[in-house]
Amino acid sequence: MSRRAFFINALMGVSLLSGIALMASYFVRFLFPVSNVKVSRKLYVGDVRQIPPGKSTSFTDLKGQKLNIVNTGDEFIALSTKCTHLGCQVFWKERERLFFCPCHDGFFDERGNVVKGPPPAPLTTYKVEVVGQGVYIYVDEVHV
Amino acid sequence: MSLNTKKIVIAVIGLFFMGALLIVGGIESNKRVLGKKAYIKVSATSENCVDCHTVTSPSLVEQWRDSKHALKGVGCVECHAAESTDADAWEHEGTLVAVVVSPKDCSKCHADENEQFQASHHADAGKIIGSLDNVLAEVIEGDMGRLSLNGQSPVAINGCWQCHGSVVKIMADGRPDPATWPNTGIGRINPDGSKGSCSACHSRHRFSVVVSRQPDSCGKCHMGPDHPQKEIYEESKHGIAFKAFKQDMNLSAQPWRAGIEYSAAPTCATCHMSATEELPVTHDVGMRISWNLRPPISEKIDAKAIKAGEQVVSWEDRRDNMKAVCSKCHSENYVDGFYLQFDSAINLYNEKYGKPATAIIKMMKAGGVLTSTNFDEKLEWTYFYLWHHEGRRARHGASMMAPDYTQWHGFFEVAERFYIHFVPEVREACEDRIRQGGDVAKAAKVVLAELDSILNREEHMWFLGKMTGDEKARRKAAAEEFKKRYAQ
Amino acid sequence: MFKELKFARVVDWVKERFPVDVEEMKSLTNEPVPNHLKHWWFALGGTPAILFVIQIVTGVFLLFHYVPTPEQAYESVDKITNEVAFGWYVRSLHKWASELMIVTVMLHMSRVFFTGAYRKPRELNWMVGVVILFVTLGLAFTGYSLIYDQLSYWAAMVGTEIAASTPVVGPLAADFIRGGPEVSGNTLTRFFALHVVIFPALLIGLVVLHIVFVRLNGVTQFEFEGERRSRHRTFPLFPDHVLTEAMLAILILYLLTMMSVIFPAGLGDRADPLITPEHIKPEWYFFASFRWLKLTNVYIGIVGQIFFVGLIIAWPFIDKVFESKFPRAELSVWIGFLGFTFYLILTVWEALV
Repeated sequence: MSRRAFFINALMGVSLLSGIALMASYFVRFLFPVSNVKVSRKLYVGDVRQIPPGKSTSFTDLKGQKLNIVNTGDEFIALSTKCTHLGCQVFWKERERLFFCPCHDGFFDERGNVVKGPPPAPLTTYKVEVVGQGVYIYVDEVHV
Repeated sequence: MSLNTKKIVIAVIGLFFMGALLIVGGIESNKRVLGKKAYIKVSATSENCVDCHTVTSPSLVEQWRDSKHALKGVGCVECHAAESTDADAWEHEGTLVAVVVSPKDCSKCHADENEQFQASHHADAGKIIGSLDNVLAEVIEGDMGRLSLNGQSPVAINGCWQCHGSVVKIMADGRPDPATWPNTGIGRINPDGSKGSCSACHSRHRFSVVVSRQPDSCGKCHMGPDHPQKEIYEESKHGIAFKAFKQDMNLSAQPWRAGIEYSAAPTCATCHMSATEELPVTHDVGMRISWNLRPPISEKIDAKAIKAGEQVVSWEDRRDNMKAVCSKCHSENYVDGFYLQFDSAINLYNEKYGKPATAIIKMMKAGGVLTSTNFDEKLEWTYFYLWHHEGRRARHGASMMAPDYTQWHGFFEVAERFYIHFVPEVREACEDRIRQGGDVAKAAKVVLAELDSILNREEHMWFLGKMTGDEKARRKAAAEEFKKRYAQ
Repeated sequence: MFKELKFARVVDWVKERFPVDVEEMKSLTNEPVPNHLKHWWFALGGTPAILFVIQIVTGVFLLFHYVPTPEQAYESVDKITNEVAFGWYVRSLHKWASELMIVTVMLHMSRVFFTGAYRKPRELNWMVGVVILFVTLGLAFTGYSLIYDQLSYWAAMVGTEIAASTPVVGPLAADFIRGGPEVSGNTLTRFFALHVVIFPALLIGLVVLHIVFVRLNGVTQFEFEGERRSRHRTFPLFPDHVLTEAMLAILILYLLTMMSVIFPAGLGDRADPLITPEHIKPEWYFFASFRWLKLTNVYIGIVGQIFFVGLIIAWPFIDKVFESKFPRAELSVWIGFLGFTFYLILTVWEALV
């Protein structure tokens, strides 16, 4: 092979190889997992006086999921109102003191535990904190 | 196209491809640095406010959006909502709001900070009605009559109250009196009765802690000829270090503790408020101060309370608090030595200038040598300058290690004021009264005698040309020494 | 010399267990390529093939991070776009390669059509090609719906509604596509299976068949009048044609990378079954179909399109009739031109309004 031919072959080879190698390195890095730490954000729900004992308020988290925050008198409990069966919204029945899911007649108690029906798991709870006069809730972080 | 041409084309496009990949790599690393924006969600009512105010006051909304409040879901109505019983409540686009957000409103979530703040002297800053300064702004400099705004002196409205805080008045139509609002003075008296304004240091609507930790925040009010703390800080080594290493100050950290999150330099907040490993943050700025350097005669900070029979934290304990902060960077001997130096300067001011001048003025007022109206005679202005301006500069300069303020802006000018203005003016006023005769003449004579006894004290004797032989010899020797040293 | 010996022994070891005649392989693969392939538009066939390979590679990588459930689909795409290292790059490559693949498949189809390469004995290959086109469109449609943003969800909704309106088989087909009476998690699962396994496997089979046909029947001879007949009517596959394909490949990689840098793939709002966006538009390649449906009633709209597709598939035979009735009139070219223009007009119309 002439020197010219060798040189051109080398140039082509190096150019291609380096490009493909760099691209491959990017793709390999792509495969490695990102830290999957579940980050949560503390959100202000409202004034304590807005949720007197026995009363509840509805709230939406950063993902648009609805929840219900009730003041039992002793503490605040925050429950997701998404039925754990197939995802319908449950609603509170005052007289029975139960959460009711109309889709397939599921029932949860005021702490979210399953009482009757097809739901396989209790309603998801959220951590609530009261600081001063503010009621706060911890929800999953969402970035834009 | 020949084979070789094809190969060269491949090589060239390959290079371009490499270039594009390098750009990709660059974008990827920048992506890491820039980070992501968090999703902001607030109540439906606040969303309403945002929708309209994004158009009418866009920067206000954007500042709020960058704030920690927005991140936490605290929007507009969470702070601005008002009850119908609130004096400053008014109906705005279907919601009852109040423009003034007082520390009481903030205390819904920031109860501890408010409690500390309400106990502090900052919260009392608005109680200057009737004080000398207020008379200056309202009567002497300004006017509360035909040149007033709603009966208030424009000097007070634009000057004093903007730092000290106004008393926010609500007019018959439910809107604040423009003479009293807008105002974010730190001692503002709010319509709900609470004292103060958190916005004074924690500027709205971003409420960034970075702003409040900046010396410039304090410097909005703590500056100028009568209390140049900001200038003093900037002269001092503390301020120099801050300026040099501001990027290492980690100003947005929470918590922000000297010696842990940052070590480069102290700021105003560092010493007077902020946390260390042992000390919590306090919004009561008096908790680490031992001297009260404000009045004509400095006294320990708990003296007034003790006289009133109140139980407060002792000045010794407060000094220990401050020393706890100093010791983050300085050794015990260093700190103790500084306090000895500082105390000696205050003591000198008190004994040489503060006490004598105040005693003289008191005597002159009591005896009728000075009229009962304040500031209508030259001597009163001279005395005011002496303790309120130069006297404070000297004391504050010593308190925060600014030698030039202590000396040239301080004691030098104190001495000049005292010897070249105060003393001759006292003599002139008294001699004037003596010439007029009567009771006042008797009082004036007593004053002159007192002045004489003051000037015969060891520290003032030089003025009367009464230095002892020994003293004179020592001064001469010192002068020779200096000449020799500096002639080299 | 020691190294040569070692290498030779290894080669012998492999040859004993994998008996392949290297010389025969060489002659089999190094088929001479006819000269007319040097016209640039003959590269339009290999291009979508290269893009298909890129799609498979980038797609497999994306599989490592994508989660096909309604709760997590959007978030996983968000994670890929914003958090995973070079995630935005791999995703953007995948997006732009898909757009480019559709364009080049259509361009290749046009080239084949206007050079009459569908004529005997290549009618079967033409039909395979048309199926390839529709599988490609199916890949694009199912792929886009996997993102589960507003556009994904509502495009899937509209698409399945259209399918449902097909006379006779409509409702059954819609149920099958949706996995139920409405668009739900089941739909996403099916689309995922279609996009990741069924369509790609089908496409690989079809493309192999397509290439086998080309090798068996040869590439259509095509010369302009007066084109000089060069002495060598062929040129070697290796290294000449291989280098041409390599040029094409590296050029495509470069262009796709620049597209990814300048126009990275974005992410719309999360899918919300309760909020219908004001303007639902499918992807650009469906614009003509969409516009046609808006212009006509449901019956003509759908049956008309089915008829149109049937025409395309059967064109080699229709063309035969034209050729026998009106020789030299090249009616196919004119009708093809009109058809292509019609498609273009409908597409642009939908894009502008």
